[in-house]
Amino acid sequence: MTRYVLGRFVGIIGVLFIVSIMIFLMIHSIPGGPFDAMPTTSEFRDIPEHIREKLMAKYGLDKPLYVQYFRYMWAALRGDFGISFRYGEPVTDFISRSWPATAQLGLSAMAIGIPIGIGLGILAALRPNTWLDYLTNVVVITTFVTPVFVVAIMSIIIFAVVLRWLPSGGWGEPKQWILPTFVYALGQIGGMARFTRSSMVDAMQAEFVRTARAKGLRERAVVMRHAFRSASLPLITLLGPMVVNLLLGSFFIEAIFRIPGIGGQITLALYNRDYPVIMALILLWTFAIAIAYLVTDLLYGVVDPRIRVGGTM
Amino acid sequence: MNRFVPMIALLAVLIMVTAVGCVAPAAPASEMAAEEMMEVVSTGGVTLPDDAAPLDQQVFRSAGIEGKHFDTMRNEYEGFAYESTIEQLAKMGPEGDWHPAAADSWELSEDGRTWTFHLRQDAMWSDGTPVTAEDWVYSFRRYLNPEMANVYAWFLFDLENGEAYNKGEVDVEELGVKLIDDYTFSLTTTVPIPYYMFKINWHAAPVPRHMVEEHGDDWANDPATAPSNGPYRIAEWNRGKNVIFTPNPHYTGRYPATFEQRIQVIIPEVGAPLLQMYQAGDIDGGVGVTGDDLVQVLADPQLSQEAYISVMNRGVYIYMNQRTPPFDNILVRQAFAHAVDRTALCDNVMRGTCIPAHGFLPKDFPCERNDDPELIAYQNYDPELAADLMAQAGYPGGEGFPEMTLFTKEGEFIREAEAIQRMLADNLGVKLTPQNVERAFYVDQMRNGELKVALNRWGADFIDPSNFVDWWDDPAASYFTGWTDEEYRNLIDTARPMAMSTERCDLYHDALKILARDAIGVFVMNPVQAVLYKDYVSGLTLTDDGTLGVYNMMLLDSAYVKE
Repeated sequence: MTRYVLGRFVGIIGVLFIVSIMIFLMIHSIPGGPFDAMPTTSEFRDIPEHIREKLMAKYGLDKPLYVQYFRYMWAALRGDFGISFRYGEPVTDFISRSWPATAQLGLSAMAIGIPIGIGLGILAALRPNTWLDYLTNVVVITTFVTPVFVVAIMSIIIFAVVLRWLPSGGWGEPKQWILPTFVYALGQIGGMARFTRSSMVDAMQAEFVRTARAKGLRERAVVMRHAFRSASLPLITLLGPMVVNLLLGSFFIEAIFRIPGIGGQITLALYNRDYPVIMALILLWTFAIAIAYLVTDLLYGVVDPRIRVGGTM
Repeated sequence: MNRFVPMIALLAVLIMVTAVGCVAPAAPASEMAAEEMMEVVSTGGVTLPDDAAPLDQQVFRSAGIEGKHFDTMRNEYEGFAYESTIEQLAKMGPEGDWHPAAADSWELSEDGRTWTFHLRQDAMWSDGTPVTAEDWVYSFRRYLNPEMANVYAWFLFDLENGEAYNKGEVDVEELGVKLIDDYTFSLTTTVPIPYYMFKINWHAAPVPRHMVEEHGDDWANDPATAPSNGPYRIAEWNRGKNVIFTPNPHYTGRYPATFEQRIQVIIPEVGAPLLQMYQAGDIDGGVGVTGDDLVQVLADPQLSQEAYISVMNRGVYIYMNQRTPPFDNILVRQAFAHAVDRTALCDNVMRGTCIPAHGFLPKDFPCERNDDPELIAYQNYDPELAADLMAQAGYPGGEGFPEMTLFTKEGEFIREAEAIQRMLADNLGVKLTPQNVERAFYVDQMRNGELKVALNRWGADFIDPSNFVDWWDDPAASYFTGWTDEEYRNLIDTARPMAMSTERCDLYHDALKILARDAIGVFVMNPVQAVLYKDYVSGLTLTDDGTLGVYNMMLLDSAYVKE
């Protein structure tokens, strides 16, 4: 087991290196550089050549790409991810001040969205083709197909503009948490419920459920201990990347509700050609996804001992 | 700060009550007190009008994106630029007139090149250090210092030896910035520039030399080391959330603070629903709306009352790369110019949120003569003429004309581009595909000539026609099309140093007519904008017609929150 986890970690480090090279090459091959993205330069005239050269030298962008890459990696290995072109502060400071808001929002949305989604899914699966199932379906499909920015704007118009119960956005006071958390959670409910329902429907028709019932187990035990346990395998697969996405935030939610998190920052950083921020966030994201899959694989073993990895514990 | 605002207010009221009690002993003290309680004196020392709300409500919130620092003299657009914390030498009022601010007075030399400024002698930084001419000279020199690598340094290249100093070719003493005494300094330009006040008063403010020398460029990253010379100081910078300004306790100038707090709510670069934030009461004003939001504002009984409407100082035109075919052919460009139905665009497609234009200067800009029939005739909507020109150019009915992308950037002009593409297809038979791209890509493609045609805009940096004409034939300009013309260059070179006059406008108008005649750009429209201020924000300094004025730097100087 320990050996298995260690092996996976070595693999993750390898993946990070490969990703870092790919991203580094890709961001430097997009047309336009960090100084083209500034309104200062593009609206009026080109940066004078002597200033451009100075700036390139200042940020080390004048060196050949491989030199830039090795410098970056050498610094990154020591925890220095460079200074954001856009914000002028170290990328590590930037991430550590932005991430808590994103994480809080993601965890709250999960705490609300996942249980409700699973609950709705189970209920719908237990009573297939009844009004409960249809109602769940309506909720699920509505939340699933409505883009999150539409829901977000609508919620602002209803609760902030018309009813004036809640602020339109911002971050810091509890009342500012309510709208984004619920809008975010709503988006999770749909996917979760849909998935839970379909795997529960399958599980409920399985042989072992009939056996469990035949043993005279109470329905509750049949559903939770037997059917759901089996149905939760595909859910775990879904949950891994979902948790990562929630923890790394949503561009729309954070932009519309003005949350100072990292959710929108990959997009903005690409837009601004903020190379250090792009690199750091994509590496972070890669790492998080890799860890999520590792945890998922280990969880499979907990739920279903037949697929326990790396031998006995 | 918050603790001490009410204390001062209480103190002020107590003093007033006592004073009133002395001169009018006949009236019962309690009655007088109640009456005098109505008077509100701001921490900045301004007695607010009778209808002012209590001090704790004297807060003004606006929205803006996050800056990198507070140093507008390092890079104007990178920093947070606040009229509240920086005091320029002079301020432009609503009617475009100049009013003394950090300078008590100024004069221009006989040859029109040297501006001498006499500073207000009691000026102090918000940390109590005096502001002297040395701070100003230091700031201008630093702006152009080669070591700073300021991408916007060229903005002051018209200072004597500005460019040479920035390139490291001459010493700082050669630069046209001279210290005369503790409170006097001068700026000398290479040629007479009649509109120079606009340029240097836009975001130019002194940097606190004592802080820069102690902390380096980091001084501007932390409110504690970034004192202001304006009516407000920076109290807090909560990254990603807001910046809070409170009255500068050491301010002794002409525009003392009326608000107890000014707050800039930080919004993301894209996606913040500004209009909804405003409607929800999370910001108090300064929200500019265009396009569909403008239509919504005008239709809303409440919002339309709070809207100040004006034509923006922006010219929207079709950029055509004239270095290569097909746009190196004047007939093609003229065909395009006559194929765009500007009235239909503004009235029907854009539902009145723009006004048609056939020339480049925005409506009501100095020297604007867009009603000139000659100018209109160069680019009026005439589909038959357009088709005819296209045939003469060798593309009858658009046959043989290459398919290309009509670029727009940053989410702007998407619908306009769709409509124009349609008009060009119907009238000329050409096929353009609109595509909206990000700024960095757009600029890069324009620079390397890949971009052939775009719906582009130009916004005024300062209020002088030179700003709209100077760059068309300048290869260093971002929007250079490859076109140069000797007659054009002569006209604008003659006009630039002249004092503003009809004669100067004549020259600029002739230059603008060349741009229209040869269809160097296809001039389409000027957008209309509404800027919203809540009805409780009172005392705005407006023009005589009740509009906000162009680059009115005094707008909020006497503003307060009404009960």
